Amino acid sequence: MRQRNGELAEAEGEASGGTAPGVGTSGHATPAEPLRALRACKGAVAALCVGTALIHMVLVFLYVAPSNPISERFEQPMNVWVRPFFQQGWGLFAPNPGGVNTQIFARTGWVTASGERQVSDWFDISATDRAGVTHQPYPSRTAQRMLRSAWSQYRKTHDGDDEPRSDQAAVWAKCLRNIAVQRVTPLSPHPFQAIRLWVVTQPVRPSSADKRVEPDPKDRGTRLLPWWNVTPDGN
Amino acid sequence: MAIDQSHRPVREPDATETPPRGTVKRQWRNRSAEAYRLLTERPLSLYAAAFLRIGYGLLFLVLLVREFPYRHQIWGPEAPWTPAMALETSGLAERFRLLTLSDSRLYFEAVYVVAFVLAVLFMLGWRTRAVSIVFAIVVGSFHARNLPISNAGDKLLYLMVVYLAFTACGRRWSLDARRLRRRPVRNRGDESRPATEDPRSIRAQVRVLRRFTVTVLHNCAMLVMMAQMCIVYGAAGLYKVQGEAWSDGTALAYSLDLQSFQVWPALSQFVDSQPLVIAVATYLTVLAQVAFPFSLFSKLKYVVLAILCGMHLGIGVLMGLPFFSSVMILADAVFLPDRFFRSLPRIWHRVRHPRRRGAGAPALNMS
Repeated sequence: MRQRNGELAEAEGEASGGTAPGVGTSGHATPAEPLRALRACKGAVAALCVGTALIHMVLVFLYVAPSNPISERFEQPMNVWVRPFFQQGWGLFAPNPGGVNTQIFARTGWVTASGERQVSDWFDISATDRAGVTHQPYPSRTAQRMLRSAWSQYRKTHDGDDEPRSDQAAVWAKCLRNIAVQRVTPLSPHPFQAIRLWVVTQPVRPSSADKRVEPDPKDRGTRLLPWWNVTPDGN
Repeated sequence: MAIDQSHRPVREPDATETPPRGTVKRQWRNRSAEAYRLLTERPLSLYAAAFLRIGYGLLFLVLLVREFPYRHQIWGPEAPWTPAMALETSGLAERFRLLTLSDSRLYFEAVYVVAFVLAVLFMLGWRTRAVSIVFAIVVGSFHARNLPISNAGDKLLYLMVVYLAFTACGRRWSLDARRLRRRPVRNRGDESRPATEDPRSIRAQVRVLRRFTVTVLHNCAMLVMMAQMCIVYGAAGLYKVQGEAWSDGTALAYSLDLQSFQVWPALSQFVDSQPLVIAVATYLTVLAQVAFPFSLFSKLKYVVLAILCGMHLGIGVLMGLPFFSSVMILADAVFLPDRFFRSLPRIWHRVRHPRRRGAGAPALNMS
């Protein structure tokens, strides 16, 4: 940052950057007035820029930091400034890297012309993800992230009974359902009106970690989600 | 920060009467005058800004090309994450509505093409200020359209592109710079009139103020980018410190065993079977991240930056996250001095012409 020795003389920056006001003040009585105005403008610009930058940095810091009395006090400006434009979180693989591998199966259901209910077999809709990641130097986010992030958000927003208790939860359930519908449509033997997911999770057991971090009880074993209706318009 | 400069040449009468107090006061004044000078005299780190501009333009381009076959599922009309969901859950989507405006496929393809062209123009530095602002809006729209599928790399890319729009990132290594170089010498200062113009005319003053504003904005934006990286690493480090797996030195092994990141299963298993390597790398990651903001004020920062770069390279290759890693490494470049960037062409020249070492280098003038 410090540019003293041997740095390029930035001719364009130095020509008019700081010298102009100083030159004018010597001797001339009348022109001092506009130059003073210029100096005031410069001061105002500098103060505004630096002030905004400082406030931005402080607010972003408070937003990223765990909730504390200061961030509670400044919740209002954070909601106006940080949340819409600069929302961020940097808990990458932290506090603990996810300790489970998840496999998601889906089956479809439909009613036949005679009014009979029928269901398909279970299809592994996460298989394409594994295929899309293995030996791919740059996997597509559709394989690496789409289903996984929808499931992890669903898991976070729903209790064991799979009741959506908030608008957020309902949105995530819908997202998960949409992904499943998209993936299972080419596999299903019959056009379907309902879909059901079955999630199998297995804790990761790395050979070099002898002390295992206990997986979240929510993660253990299998979880059968309720039937979801699927309408052609996607609602 | 804004210091009344009119006081500077005037001698403080009490400065001689009470030396200790006066000295402190004067020192403080000198220091803040120096800071003000640094902030307002000229745009700093122009090469770093240009490097980031080229890098992020290129990375966004790579993203658009890589996800081209899947674009409809990610940002387009077929996405499981519908525009309504995006608008309902994210404040960002409410602001950047380019991709939630219409369900039309044609419209989406048009936006995609525009984004592609903008990324190229941004990278090349053509009319950089205008392009960088529009590019930031486009990147924001893509990012906001599907937040759940975007990762930390997308987030940082978006933030950095927004900050870059406030910098003078087109002054170096750009088509704009080339155009300026090709102009006749007397017209070089942008739109400047011959030196005969009265410096006290309104027009001249507006020009001075404009240049001043550009400089201050640029320097503040560079500062904000640096602060942003401190927040990224500081937060990432502190959140890791709280985890058991990071404190018992096994976290990386867990990460390597996650199927979504097992790009080379045999390689991941091999690394996983080396508990010492895992433990060293785990601790080094946490230490480097937590130490990062504090190392910036000394040469130690280069060591920490090198460690973090190595970490990102490892993540990028081993865990199949090259996009995320590149975004992070590029952002780290904001801390490198212009000296370094200016020597790059020379190094490149030497690598390409090893025999003429030393002879050809000084003749190369890149600015």
